[in-house]
Amino acid sequence: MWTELPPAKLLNLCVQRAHQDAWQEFVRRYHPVIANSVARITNQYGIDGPQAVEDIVQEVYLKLCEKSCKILRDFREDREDGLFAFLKVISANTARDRCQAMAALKRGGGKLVPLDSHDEAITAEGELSSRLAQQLFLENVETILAGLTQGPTAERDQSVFWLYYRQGWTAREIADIPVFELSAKGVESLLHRLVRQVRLVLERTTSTASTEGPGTANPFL
Amino acid sequence: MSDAPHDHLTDDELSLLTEGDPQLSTDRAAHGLECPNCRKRADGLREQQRKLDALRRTEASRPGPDCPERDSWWMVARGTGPRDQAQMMLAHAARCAHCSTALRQTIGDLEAEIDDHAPTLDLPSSSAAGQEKLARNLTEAARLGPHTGTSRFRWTWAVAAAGIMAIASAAGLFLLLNRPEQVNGLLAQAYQEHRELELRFPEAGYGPIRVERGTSRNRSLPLAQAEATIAKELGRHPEEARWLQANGRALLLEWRPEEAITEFRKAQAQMPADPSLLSDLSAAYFEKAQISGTPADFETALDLLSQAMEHNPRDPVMLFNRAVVLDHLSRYDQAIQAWNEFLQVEPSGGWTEEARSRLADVKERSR
Repeated sequence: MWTELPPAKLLNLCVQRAHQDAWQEFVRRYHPVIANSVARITNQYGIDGPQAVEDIVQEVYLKLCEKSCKILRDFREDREDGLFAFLKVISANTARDRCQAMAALKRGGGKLVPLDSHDEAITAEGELSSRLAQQLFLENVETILAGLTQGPTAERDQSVFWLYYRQGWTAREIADIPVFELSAKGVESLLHRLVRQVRLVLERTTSTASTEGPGTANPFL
Repeated sequence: MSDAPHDHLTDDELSLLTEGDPQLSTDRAAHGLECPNCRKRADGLREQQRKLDALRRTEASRPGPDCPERDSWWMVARGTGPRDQAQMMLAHAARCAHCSTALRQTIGDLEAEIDDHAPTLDLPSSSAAGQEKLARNLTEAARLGPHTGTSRFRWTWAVAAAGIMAIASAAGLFLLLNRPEQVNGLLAQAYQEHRELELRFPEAGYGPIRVERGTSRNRSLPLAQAEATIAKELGRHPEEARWLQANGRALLLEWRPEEAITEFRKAQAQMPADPSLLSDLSAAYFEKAQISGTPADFETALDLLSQAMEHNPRDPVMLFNRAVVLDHLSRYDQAIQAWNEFLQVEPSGGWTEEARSRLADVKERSR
């Protein structure tokens, strides 16, 4: 009986009724995905040994238990494999946190290392000016982009542009985001159109500013 | 070579030239190379492209106050959940390295091939006994019921309040507490009766500040009543923003800022620019800063409050709170100015008396 229950009903029996047999089935059904997702991340971080995996698996269950299983109570998805996917992500996130903490500890995290204050100041000054320049450029592009993108797809188009140009995503990766409803070709074509327009406006603004003489030109353009 | 304007490359041709696109005819490409004007523009376009390319980055960064919870990205990655919310989160991720990384990792996690029928690793928790123990613990956790938190005390009080309300109901005195506004009124009453926060609480009258924090002696009936109603309503409408906000306020009164932040953030996902939520979130970071002593949390509190005040620049509660936060940041001049602004807006009452006293104190310290 238990093995045939659809995920939504099983979850309901677990969290609403606190039925121990239902939880037994939950663990039987989903423990492999939790354990294997954790193991996948620990492998990525080069952390070996079943004990490390076991510790993190326990941490995942602890997360599921927190606030009376709030995370599971709040879970909503109609698709059959929704809970499976959700647990995959929760397990991987928990494992990633733990592995990063372990890696930081290994590198001597938490200890304060004195820096040469003079070198630091020089680096900081150069970095600050470069960051400021970049920030101004970003703001300029943001304004141009807002003017170029109109209508119901404006927000989507801007997100696609920035995922590519700020976050370094590829067109293929962007196309994998379902809400965009774009193929990789569609993303490429959108980016091509947008970047041409942005570039032209930037070029015009810069050349206009430079012909207006010193003091009016934006040095960052 | 003619310099007549009509001979110059059009915008489209210049773009083709810059991109090295063979669609541009040979004679137009030659013009682009020979004409100083067109060459300058093509160089300008290449320079802008270089700057755009230089923006690309892949490194992660620390989360900011506006970042959604990491575990919430899976809905965006799967294409489930409200479309508007997904669009909003994506607009954030496109501009935030931390969230962009989180989303990318989530997509990778979902795409990773993990067979749910694969043999389980040889772990203690994979054994029959281990799984039984896990099931038992999960059952126990679920039995506690929703919205009871990890604190046994909070649960006890919710039950006690439910009992009190049942008695009141039997006596015909049942208060109709099914609206967030009514519960917020109770929370404001609880705050006023036993004020432990330096900041002003929304809708609350003046109450002198006390020194104890979150101890059992401080629990008031209004707070317990509010918590019981919130637990019941959130059980029925777990995503309802106004109930999440009310729950966050109750957690604030209990000095549980981290949990309050979580609740406010969830509500904020539905109402991102709501000034009352921004103000509540600011209060939660302020409380967190008071517990941890982290100056960055005071800064976050101030930032959130400033965002809230963009909508309500003369709101007396926010003006009062801004002055308190500035004082904690040791920005005495700004704090003095903020107290004066508050006193202009609210020239009399209990809060005004406190503000005058605090203003005098800041002036003394700033000397």
